[in-house]
Amino acid sequence: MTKPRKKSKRISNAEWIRRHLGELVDKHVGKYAIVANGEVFIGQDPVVLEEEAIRKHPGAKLTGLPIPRREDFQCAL
Amino acid sequence: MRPLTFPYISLHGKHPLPIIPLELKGPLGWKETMAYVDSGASFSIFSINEAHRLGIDYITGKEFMITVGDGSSIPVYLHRLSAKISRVSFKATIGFSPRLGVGFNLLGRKDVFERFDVTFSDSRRIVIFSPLAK
Repeated sequence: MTKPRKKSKRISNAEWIRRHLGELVDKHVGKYAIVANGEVFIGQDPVVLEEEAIRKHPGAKLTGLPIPRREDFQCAL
Repeated sequence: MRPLTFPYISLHGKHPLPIIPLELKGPLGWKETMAYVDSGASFSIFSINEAHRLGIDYITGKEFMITVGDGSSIPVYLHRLSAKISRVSFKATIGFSPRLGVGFNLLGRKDVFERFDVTFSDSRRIVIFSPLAK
């Protein structure tokens, strides 16, 4: 399952993730996210997500992220 | 080479953590992902989703048992990969585990902390990677 989300102003993928991680954790915990050009693709299979991201953003840099649980932010690693 | 500075990533402004972008190279090319810089981890351990994305059959790696926080052991399959943090490339031993119990990829010490001096500043909410001469 993929769910493209609306575009935002062009920033690096890492910066996009920094700004939106809370939203991802709230809504999509346990899934995988691929970010490309300010658009995020969310689902279970990173290969499928990446194919979709490449179709929509050919040549763009893609950044992946397993979406952590809220409790992961307070763990002893 | 100049130090690389990465801002911490937080959850709604709380619990800031040193999570940085890095690239790994597999059969399907360079892929960028995010990883938690874990100075307490001997090895880097990534989710098997990252192996799939890289085109790596993770189970072909050298199996290694790693002790985790509750005292139990998890299997980790080690692969030797090219890696990049920003513009600095290096070879790194990366483990993939189907039993990684935390929701982050973990960037541990082996190879990484030998290639960079790593400074955590919780007060400034940044982590600084200072590349060392090879």
